[in-house]
Amino acid sequence: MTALLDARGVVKRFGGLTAVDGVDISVSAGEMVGLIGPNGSGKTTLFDCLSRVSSLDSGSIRFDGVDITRHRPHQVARLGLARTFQLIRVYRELTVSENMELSIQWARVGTARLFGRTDPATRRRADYLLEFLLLARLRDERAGALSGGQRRLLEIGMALMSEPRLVLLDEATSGVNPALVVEIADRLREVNADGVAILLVEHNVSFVAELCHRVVVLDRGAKLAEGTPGQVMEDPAVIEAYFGAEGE
Amino acid sequence: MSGTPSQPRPTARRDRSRLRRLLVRASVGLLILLAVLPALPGVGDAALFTLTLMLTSVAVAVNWNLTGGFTGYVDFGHAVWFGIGAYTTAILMSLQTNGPQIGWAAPPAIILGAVVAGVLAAAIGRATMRLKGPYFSIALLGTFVAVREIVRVSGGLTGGGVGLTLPPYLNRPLFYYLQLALVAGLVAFTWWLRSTRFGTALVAIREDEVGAETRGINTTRLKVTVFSFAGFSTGLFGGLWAYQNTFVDPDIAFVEVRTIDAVMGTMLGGLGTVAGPVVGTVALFWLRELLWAHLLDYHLIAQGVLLIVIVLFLPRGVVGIIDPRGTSLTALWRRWTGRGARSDEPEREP
Amino acid sequence: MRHVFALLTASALILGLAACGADQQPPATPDEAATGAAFAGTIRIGAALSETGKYAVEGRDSRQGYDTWLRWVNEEYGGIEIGGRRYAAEIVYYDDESDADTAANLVQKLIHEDNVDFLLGPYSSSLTTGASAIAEANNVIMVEGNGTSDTMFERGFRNLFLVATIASDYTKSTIEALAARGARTAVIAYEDTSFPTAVANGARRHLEANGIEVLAMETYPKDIQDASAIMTKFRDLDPDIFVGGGHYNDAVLFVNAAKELGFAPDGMLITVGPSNPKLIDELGEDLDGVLGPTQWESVMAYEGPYFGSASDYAAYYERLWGEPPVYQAASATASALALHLAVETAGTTDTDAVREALYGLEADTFYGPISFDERGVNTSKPMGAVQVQDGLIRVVAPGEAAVADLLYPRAGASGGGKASAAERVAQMLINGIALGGMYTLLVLGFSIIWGVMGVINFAHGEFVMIGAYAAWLANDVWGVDPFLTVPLVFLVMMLVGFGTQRLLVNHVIDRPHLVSLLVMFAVAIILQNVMKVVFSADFRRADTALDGVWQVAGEVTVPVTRFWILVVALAVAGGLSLFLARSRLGKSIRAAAQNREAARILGIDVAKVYAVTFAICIGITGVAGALISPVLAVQPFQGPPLTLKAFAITAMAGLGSVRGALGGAMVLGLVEAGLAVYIPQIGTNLAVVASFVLLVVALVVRPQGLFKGLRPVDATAT
Repeated sequence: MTALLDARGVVKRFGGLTAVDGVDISVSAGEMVGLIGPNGSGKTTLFDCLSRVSSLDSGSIRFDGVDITRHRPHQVARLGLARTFQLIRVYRELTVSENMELSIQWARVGTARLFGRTDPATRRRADYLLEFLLLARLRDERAGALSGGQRRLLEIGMALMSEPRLVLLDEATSGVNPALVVEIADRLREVNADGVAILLVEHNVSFVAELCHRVVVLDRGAKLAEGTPGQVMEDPAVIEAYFGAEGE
Repeated sequence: MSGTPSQPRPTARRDRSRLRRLLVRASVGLLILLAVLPALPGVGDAALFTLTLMLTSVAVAVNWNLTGGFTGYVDFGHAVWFGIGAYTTAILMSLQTNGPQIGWAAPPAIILGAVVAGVLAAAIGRATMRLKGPYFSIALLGTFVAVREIVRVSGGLTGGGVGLTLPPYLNRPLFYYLQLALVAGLVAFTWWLRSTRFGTALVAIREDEVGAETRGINTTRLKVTVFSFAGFSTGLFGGLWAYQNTFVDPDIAFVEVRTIDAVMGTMLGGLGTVAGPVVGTVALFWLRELLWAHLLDYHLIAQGVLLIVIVLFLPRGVVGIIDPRGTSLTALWRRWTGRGARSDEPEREP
Repeated sequence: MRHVFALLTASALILGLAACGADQQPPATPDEAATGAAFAGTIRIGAALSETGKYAVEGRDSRQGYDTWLRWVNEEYGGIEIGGRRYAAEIVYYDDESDADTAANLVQKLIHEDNVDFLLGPYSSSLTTGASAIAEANNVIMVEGNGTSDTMFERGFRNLFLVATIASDYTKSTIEALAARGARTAVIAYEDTSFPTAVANGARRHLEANGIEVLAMETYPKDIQDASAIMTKFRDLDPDIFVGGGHYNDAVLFVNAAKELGFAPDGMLITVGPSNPKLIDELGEDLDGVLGPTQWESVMAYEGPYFGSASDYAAYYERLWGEPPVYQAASATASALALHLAVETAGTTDTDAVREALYGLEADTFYGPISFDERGVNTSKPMGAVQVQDGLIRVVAPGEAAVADLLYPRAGASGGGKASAAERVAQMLINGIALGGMYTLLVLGFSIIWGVMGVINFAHGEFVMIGAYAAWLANDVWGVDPFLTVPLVFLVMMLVGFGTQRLLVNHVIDRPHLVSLLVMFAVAIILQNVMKVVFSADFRRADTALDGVWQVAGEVTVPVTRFWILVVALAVAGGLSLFLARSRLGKSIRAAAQNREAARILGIDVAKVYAVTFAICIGITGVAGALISPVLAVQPFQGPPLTLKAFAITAMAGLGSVRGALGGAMVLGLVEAGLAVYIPQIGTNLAVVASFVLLVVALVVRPQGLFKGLRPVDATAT
């Protein structure tokens, strides 16, 4: 089976600093993969490269057999690759439901739909997902008025609205109250069970270990280890670099 | 930062729909009033001309608001499209010895003027709309000044600094009704546009362009389209203005004041709202008549002070005051003293 | 529902007031009440004139001119005679606010609402162009004397008549006189707006007709601040005479730049200005020997049956208004008189008959002979010329009106030689570097404020302007040299900067860019107009002892004032670099620029650092203004182009980068100097756009900026 996402030799530099240094990463359809590593190890930068928000200095990315190395972000999204952001990006002045209804699969938006109002099917899907993510009663609130945790959920909802085949989740649990973290984990499992692949950047290692089939560890921009959660946790290099640094 | 959702406000939506009804009724009333105005005693051609100029300002502000208000791209050179529309019309209609001798009729000349403005706006927008914040603003201001100078030095086509004269045709009521219809149509169009996916997507671009792009919105296409439309529409009013003014030269066709008025009117009325630029520009016009009569040379000073007051205390404009989601007086005071939250403004990196 | 009514009432009120604004009752003329009863009727004439705005002064003169005729015709002459009966004249005036749209609108109103029989012209070509189109479309005759651009009379209008000499003939008699005295070569510079273009094209024709070779013809855009590039070019051509076409303020620019660069041709002819005593006050002996055309002077030997001689007219005018008439007033009186005579000849107020009478008119008046050609232009009155001689304005042409001999070559004229190609390159480099020095000083404060505080100071140019006015005032009142005012201006402007920061900037610093941009923009508008109210919009200049040029080699010269500005600029840039790199305060400033929060955590009082930064930067900016006051014209609206240049240089060079500011300023200076020297005719226009084109191209091609500064430039980052 060929990988859904297949990135090879991704390099990204900022001035003199090499943030991502030749990383290979792949995700198969329906897989749930964790991406962990200490602060500044290049996780978010790698995400930015994969979703094409950042340009890469070298390397190549394929998604579903299409070379997306030079694609623009919206083209990637239209192929079925959605993402969330570590620093939450919702449309603060729009209401929660407007945020959702705007995050549809734009590949199917022709001129007529572009200049049309929200159709019932979209509204139903948005309502369903808001219900699913426990945001239903906030649907008419301005997104800017939500709490951080609610905004994270909204962002996940927006990513799911586009009927993605792969979602890149950046720090889905940070700033979220612990009771909600459990809910989020349940929701992600359900989503994954429906066949949506997930690549997860997380600080919360136990969250990753619990959810993911496979874990990739980054350190200082390079891939340090890869394997099942169990294998990775026992890798001495990982313990040294990751947990050593974390526990200072 | 608690996980507990804040209490939903069931009244908010009702207030908003009441406000919308109010605005719709008010605009219909206003439209009827404006339509019967020429028939009223004491309203002569001169008053109609004044109102026509006001309508022109309203249209420019509405167009500016499409990019500046909805999309968040603050165009400091918007008057350039007005000038291009005016000049194209003048060039096509001119029969002068110091310029081209084409001699088209007005309607096709004005329409082509608008098209030229729209096409150039698309080209310029394509190049400059990847710039952000103040860089975009100043790049457009630069474009404005550069185009004015290009017009000035292209004497063979534009008559240079001397300008061009158009065949005079001065049917004030005709222009008044034409522009009234166009402005009414334009405002209705904006209102409709805001309710479509396209319009909401524009606001999304303003709120978070990277977010919008990664969620599949072709932000470049959308913002360049709306920028081009704004250029087209302002160019149309530029052409109409040129025809009524009977002549153009670089310094009256390309005036910074037209941009300033659009920005000020929109800010006063409410940035990024449908009614804002209309309410604000009419208020500004009326305010200026008052200031003009009593302050003479001081009116621009007063206008500057007004702008500071609007920007600092009324960031949501007049429409923001009557909008139930608008700012309260205490919030205004907090804004000035720098204490307390400014949750109604999106944070941006400096 | 209550709200709907409130809103509707409000809108109706707004509309009503808007309509009222344009509907005020015309002010009643005092003569109407006094003399109306004795006449068979009234002939109503309308005029839109500028009582406010940029033409307020000339507008008032024109109105006094019209009123002089009105008083005379009703009180002395006994009314306009039609078919043996006497009719009173009445003039309805409105204020056009110096605005073309308003003037056109008012003419419309005069025709349709006040039902005037005839129109008199507004002041200036730009207002007359639109106003006359309305008159033509309504078939109402307009006679005027203060809008002389040729293009107005190329439209084939049948209802527009000009009693004054048309713009293209402004220089005719002067050029003839100069040719007779042996002038052989000439250069022309003119503002490329309607009136100066017509003057310049006419001058070229008259020069060639008199066998004078035109070596170069240069245009420049309106509101230019510095004519030195054009003057450099001209100096290298070594012509006998210089012809400058523009308005009052351009005369200041020409004389300034010529002096600064050591360009002293045998004859200098400048269209507007030399006949105005105000200019002598401003420029002093530098104006000596400069020639200027004049429509009319009271010493001219004209005479007619109506007001008597020119001096009789002047005496009558002075009795009425307590001041001698300027030519704009005389032109206005003459327009009304021509209309008056035509109506009497026609014996009716019928437009067609009066038009025929105007075409057939041949009259000798205090203003000179009046007769109209088929365009409606008075071609029988020659233009006069004045020359400033020992600080006095003397009429030197035409012969019959002259009271003094034309001095040619003028006092202080010094011929140079033609410059070689190598000399021109050297001169261009020197000019470019000198300009770069000025720009460095102008941009530093802007760049640091942006780099440290993230605030784009849109009022930057206005702080330059205030510094310039401070130096000019000190120079004008106490005779202090601008270079000596530097310490004081620095301190005063620091206080101004500190106050501005505390009062305004501090409140917008955390808000989105648009907010600070708009607030500073409003500050700019306020400062411009306050200065305009206080000092008027006239161009000023300060005098410095460090003036003139150093002859370096051959025809290559170094302008002394600019050299010292460059020295100061380098000193300030060096000092600032050291201050930022070495001093404690400088380090805090850099820390606050890099990361506001981190600086705060390290115990730096960021608010204080910002206030100090702003104060220092505004201080430097004020010094820049003080130093350019002898070089650039000092005026309330000089700021915006400087702000835009500062923006262009900063965005290209890096925010808060002293080295970048220096580099960017030099690049821009050299590009502008190169364009101005090497592109014929439109070089100066192109130099004006150069900074914007560079800016837009730099931003689009390389949004990250070129140099490393206090904070990264990234024009594409959100």
